Amino acid sequence: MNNYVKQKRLDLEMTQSDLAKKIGVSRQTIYAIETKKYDPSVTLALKIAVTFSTNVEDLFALEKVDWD
Amino acid sequence: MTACKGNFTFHHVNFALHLMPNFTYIVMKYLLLPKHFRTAGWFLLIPGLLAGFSNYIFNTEPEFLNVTMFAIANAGFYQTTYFTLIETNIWQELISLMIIMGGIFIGFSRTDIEDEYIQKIRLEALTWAVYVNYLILILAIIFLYGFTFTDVLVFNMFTILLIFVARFEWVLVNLNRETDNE
Repeated sequence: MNNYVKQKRLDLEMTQSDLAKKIGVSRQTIYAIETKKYDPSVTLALKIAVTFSTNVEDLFALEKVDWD
Repeated sequence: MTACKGNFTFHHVNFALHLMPNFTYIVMKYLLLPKHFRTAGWFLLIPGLLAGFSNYIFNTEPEFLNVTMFAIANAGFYQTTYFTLIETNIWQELISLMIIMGGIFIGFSRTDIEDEYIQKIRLEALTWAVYVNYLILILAIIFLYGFTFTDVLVFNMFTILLIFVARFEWVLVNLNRETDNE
């Protein structure tokens, strides 16, 4: 899955720690999401979207491999 | 409504969980021990492993641990007795309990921030440990015989837990290192 979490976070001048604290996860989780090592759950994706005041679809996008 | 009568829905369970004290809620939500158990776990596991290796090599038992224990079953060379009191040295039993409890405390205690990604890492480490442990056991079954295999059976009591803890901690350390470099 492709995501634009890092770009959006940097646009809002937030650190990984800031974002992690806001949504109640570890900084390692934010790092893993941004480096595409981990696809967040629906709940976590929604929390990130709400924190960024945007839609989930603007942050996450399915790739071709996700359909395999 | 009639069809739902008597059925527990997710909302019933979730509501009940929120009524419980925080400790129990956390344990039941994550099936994990509180995080201070991790420290206690290391204080059990490391001495337990050292004592275990020492016992394996030197085969000595402290005399003050000769005690009377209640045995549900005690199989000797000639007979097996049930529900009896026996005289035995409990050094090996203590070592085993230290290793097992230490491993469980370390592997199944909450981390500083317990979230879904850490839970995924924990589950993957547990899966990996099962595969590796039984691969080793399969090879041991095929290639080791006699009393050597008896040693394998003894070690096998602990290896799945130890492999899990080692793998879990290794992944966490690497993850922390990568995150710090970011």
